[in-house]
Amino acid sequence: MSLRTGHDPLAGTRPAFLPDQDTPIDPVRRERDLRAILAHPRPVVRPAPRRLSVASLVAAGAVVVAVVIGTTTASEVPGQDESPRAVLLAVADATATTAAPTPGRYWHVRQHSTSVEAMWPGRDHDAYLVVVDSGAESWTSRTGADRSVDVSQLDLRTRALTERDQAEWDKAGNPVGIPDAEPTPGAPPPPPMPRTVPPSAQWLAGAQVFRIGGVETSVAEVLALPTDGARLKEFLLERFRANPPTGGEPTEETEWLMWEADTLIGGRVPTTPGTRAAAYEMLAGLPGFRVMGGGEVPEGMVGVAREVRTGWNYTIENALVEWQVIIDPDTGSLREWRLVLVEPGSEERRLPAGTVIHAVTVEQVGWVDTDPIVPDDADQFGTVR
Amino acid sequence: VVAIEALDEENAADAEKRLRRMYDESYGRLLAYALGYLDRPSAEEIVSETFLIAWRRLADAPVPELPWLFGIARNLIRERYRADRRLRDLCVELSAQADTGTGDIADDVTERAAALRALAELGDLDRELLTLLAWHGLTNREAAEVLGIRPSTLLVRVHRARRRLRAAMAPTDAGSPGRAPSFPSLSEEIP
Repeated sequence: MSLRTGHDPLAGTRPAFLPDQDTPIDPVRRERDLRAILAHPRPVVRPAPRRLSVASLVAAGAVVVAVVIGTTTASEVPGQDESPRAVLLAVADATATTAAPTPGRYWHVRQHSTSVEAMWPGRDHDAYLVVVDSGAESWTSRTGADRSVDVSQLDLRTRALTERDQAEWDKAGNPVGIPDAEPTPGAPPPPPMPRTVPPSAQWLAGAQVFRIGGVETSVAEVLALPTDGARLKEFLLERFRANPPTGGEPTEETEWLMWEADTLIGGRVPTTPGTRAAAYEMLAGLPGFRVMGGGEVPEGMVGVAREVRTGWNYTIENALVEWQVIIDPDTGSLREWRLVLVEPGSEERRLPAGTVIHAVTVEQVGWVDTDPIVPDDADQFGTVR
Repeated sequence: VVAIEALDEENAADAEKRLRRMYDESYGRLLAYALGYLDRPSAEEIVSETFLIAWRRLADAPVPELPWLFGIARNLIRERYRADRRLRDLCVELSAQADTGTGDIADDVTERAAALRALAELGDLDRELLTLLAWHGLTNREAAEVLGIRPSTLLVRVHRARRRLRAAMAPTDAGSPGRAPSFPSLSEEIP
């Protein structure tokens, strides 16, 4: 039996006698109402409240210390009807009822990422931790007739995580970004990292592919991915068994499915609302999730989270982190993806629980017909214009 | 003193401007909402009072204001009237009208009538929730704010309410639309 409710059967049932937003207001009534209201003492006006979103904290590279886990207040405790499975199925339903957009020339994504990065010791400084912020924007040609482009390192900024890190970062000369490779013992030291980094634009010609389930998948194939949770899981697991992960993806089946679901809902791949709904259905069938409390997600958003033990492919190895996804309840679109430290790993014990190790905020996503916009100061690579 | 008075005048002008904007932007939608539960004179009275309360609490008004205004109107209706029955009766009446309607496509008319009949059979909270979305055009986020519940709770309730609606619309063996299955009373879930 399908878990989805399909189109809204109440569409077209709105009673005709109900006025709509554009119905003119009776001017006599309006004048009488406003005169009566304004005759009452006027209110004391304070500045409009500013809502501090979790997103803005993440964007600012904030370290959320020990408040991320288990901070729901009594009124925010999820009710019995709010199991992770129920919430994810409801998100799937909301996603599936979103109208599928008409594919355009490009699949366009703009996102912002924040990550805590460990820097190796150098000749003049000890190891230290920094928070690296940057934007990225990509235009992927649907047919291959247009050139695709990935723009990264937009407004790249780096700052030390703590005062102790600040001292070491200062000794290192306040470089920005992430080093290309770990220094080799005995080899000459790598050239110093720059203090400013321009945006980078990688141009790509021809048909583009996305890596889904370890297999290169064309745009047309992405648009035809399964739209049912069980079929999508079966489809992915077939690829998982045929192509065991070797490139840094999780090797455990459930975590690998989470990883793949993140790819399908995260905006980087032009999946249809039906396939995104299927990915949420697939997640609903996985164990270990919890529904995030109101204080943990930006106002009006829905969040689910699951703990994961990090491997070598994470910045912080052998730590317990929480994989958190923040979803827009109106569209089912993924708004933020975060990894938050629950228990420090073996290497970086000094990092406090609650540190946002990595966060990606999706700012814009969808099909566009307009040309890509590349900053004038970007270093450009790939296919010549 | 002169400076403070000047500031107060500016605040007063801003407050009045904001109230007038809210009134012009939201009056029709609030009246439509109230008319789902009340006769026209009572609905107009509730909407007027909603804006009076909004004026008094303007300092606390969020932006955008619409869900907040819906919430004030909802509280007033629930405090003063036993209005849930009227919404249910309205659905019954509308389904009867749809049954005899003259739609361009017979199937659409039949489905509309069945949907309205099923809506009348749902619990009060399901009916309120589904009409907030389908009749009054609120988004899921806005509806959660109106009802004072978390967006995740709202999503789950919408999902379940739509499933119950579908179940109530499904034909029975006798060929007539089925009744909504028996579910635990939703009124116990009101926060």
